[in-house]
Amino acid sequence: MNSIHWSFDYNTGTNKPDYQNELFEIIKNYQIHLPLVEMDTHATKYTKHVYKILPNYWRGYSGNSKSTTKLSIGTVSIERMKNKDYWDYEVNYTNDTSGEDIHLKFSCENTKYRPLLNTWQGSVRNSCQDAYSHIEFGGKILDENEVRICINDIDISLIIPDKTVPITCNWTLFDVIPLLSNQIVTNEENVEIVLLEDLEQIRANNKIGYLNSIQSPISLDGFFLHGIGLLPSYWWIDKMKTTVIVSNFFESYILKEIIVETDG
Amino acid sequence: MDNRPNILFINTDQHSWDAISAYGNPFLHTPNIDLLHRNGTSFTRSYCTDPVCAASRSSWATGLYTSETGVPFNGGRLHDDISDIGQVLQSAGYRAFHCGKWHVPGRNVRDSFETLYYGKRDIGAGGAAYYDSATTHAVADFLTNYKNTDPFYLQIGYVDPHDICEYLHNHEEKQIPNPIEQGILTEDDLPPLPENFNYDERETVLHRVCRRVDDALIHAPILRAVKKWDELQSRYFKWNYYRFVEKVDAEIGRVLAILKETTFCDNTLIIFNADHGEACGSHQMFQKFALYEESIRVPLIISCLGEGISVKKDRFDESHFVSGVDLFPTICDYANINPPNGIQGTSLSPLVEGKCTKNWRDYVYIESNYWGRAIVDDTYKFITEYIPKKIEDYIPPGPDIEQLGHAQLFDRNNDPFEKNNLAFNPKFKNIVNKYREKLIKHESQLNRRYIPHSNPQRLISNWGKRLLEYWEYGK
Repeated sequence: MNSIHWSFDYNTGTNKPDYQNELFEIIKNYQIHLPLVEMDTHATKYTKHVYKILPNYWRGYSGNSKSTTKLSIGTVSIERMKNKDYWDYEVNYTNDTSGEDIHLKFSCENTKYRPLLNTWQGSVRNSCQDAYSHIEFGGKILDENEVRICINDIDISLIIPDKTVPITCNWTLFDVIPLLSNQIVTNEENVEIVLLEDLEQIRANNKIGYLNSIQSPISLDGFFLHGIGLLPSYWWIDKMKTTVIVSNFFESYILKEIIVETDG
Repeated sequence: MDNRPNILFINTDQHSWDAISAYGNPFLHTPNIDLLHRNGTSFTRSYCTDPVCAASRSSWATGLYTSETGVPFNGGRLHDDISDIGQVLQSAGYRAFHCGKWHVPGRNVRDSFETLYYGKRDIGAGGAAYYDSATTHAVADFLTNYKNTDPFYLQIGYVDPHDICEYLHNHEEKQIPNPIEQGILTEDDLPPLPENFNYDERETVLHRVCRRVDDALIHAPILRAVKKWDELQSRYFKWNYYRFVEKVDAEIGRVLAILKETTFCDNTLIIFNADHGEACGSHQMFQKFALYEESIRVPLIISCLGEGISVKKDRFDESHFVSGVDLFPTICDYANINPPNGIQGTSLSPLVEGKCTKNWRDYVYIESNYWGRAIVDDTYKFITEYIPKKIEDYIPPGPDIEQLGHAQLFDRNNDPFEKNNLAFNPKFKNIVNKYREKLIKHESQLNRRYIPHSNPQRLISNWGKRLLEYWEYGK
């Protein structure tokens, strides 16, 4: 049997570095920073979550360096600032394997699905030695079923097949799944969601549902997400409604740190 | 002004020939590869030269079979004196660019191409989740900024759906419930088991030693894990595999969407191909390495999104046998370059233009795992193997009819799923002999070359030792 849940148990085959120990260490760090209030993002003014990226299988994408002692190959930080009736998000994603630093800025409605609002901007810097060094892009929702993306001044159009479902940036799922969790568990039904992945790529026909609950390494409720063009992923939420672990079979995001400022 | 076309060679990795929705597969959605098909010709009899990444790619790069390139498996080193497509194009006035996966050992991609992106750590076998999106970003950067008047050749190497191998690695040492037990899918969501899940076990020794026995030479931990799978897990594998194909289809979509908005669109030829297929549970096989159709048959679409290049559109070419060695001369042909002497392939441009072609080859030849060989024609599929002569067997074997081992023969018209090996039926003895001779005749035209480097030699010796033990002691 697996010692921790199979969806994020990648210790076997990765004894050096030790996946499970690194996972526990990161989670221990997050628990030090655990807020005293429930992570109801409606009640906060500013929240920043920092996740470590652990590759789940110690192969090509982490190089062959035998001296490496840590699995982590990058971080993602998600910042939200609450305004009157909407949220401003900033996402910074750094990956030592791809060499990309991605910076995204966007706004969302203050509802459970965090639908994208207005326009958004992104930039990517690449630290590899080859010709590609950076791109800039922006986007906006033109009408209910069309998104326009502008990459280095060239416009391309993305069609949204299902216009009845709001468009959600994948990085807001770290909030959306906790916000939908009670509804999903209570109604015992999956919810549909349309994603704009990295603000560049439409992923339609996705489903979020309840998986199960676990007690190790801490008490967590699990949810799954799958859809066309998506690897199934598993989202683990703690009792404070914070997304602690997100895993697919390829990588995990492990919550390392939380910074919260509450209203008033 | 140089009016030769730009050439975009988009390749995916481990892509089953039929994992494309435009070909009628209802279990996945590939709108962007479908777009390539609508704007071009799909070759449904397209085969790789060798069903493994490095070997197959060495043929793309050189127009030679893998016993000639120095890369006859997922190792080796491309012989130093063989010109690759980047060198040939650059010397003829093209700007030759590379972006993404290369995986031709022994040739530094940066020496032969201008590289747009090759990973923070050079891209190896896997890692699509990190590399493919960055590859698309690099191509977007290139297409939106290229101002030179020289025509360009850009090869884009996507890693997916190869990351399905990582899915398999995950099963090596832990138990993962099937999706029904997980509660995330219903049985109706899953594609069925392949028609040939149950198979004829009378296979070549090479095949058994490489991919069947408990201590198989290739990915034994994966093989041991999947043997414990129930039917739902095999079907869930395929379901996941299709998600990987969809992922890479979306990357291709972003490239095509940008290309359409540039001035290059009309005068850019797009070649879409994969290095090898994915067994997807057929013959209870996963990944590649085998000479069954699912591993060796690959998608190939040649298209143009504009009107500047003569390409027959929305068409299947179901009659011509096409090989991975044909891409090199095809690219040279469109670039108006004479290919180097000694290459094996033939330009596909007459077929792309829909012209009548006489004297086109009536079979394809495929190599595998150094000693494995196959011939596919209209009537039969013939698979065989060379028995290692000795452990230090560093010249790829052939043509030697006396050295051939077991055979597999399949009737392509009545047994398209390769379930009944006719080679053991005395009635087919003459047909088997005919194909053995056909193989020998083909191989007599190859320039098989000594493998000089120690690492590939070590692998050949290790594998050869195991094979010889099997032949001598039957274990």
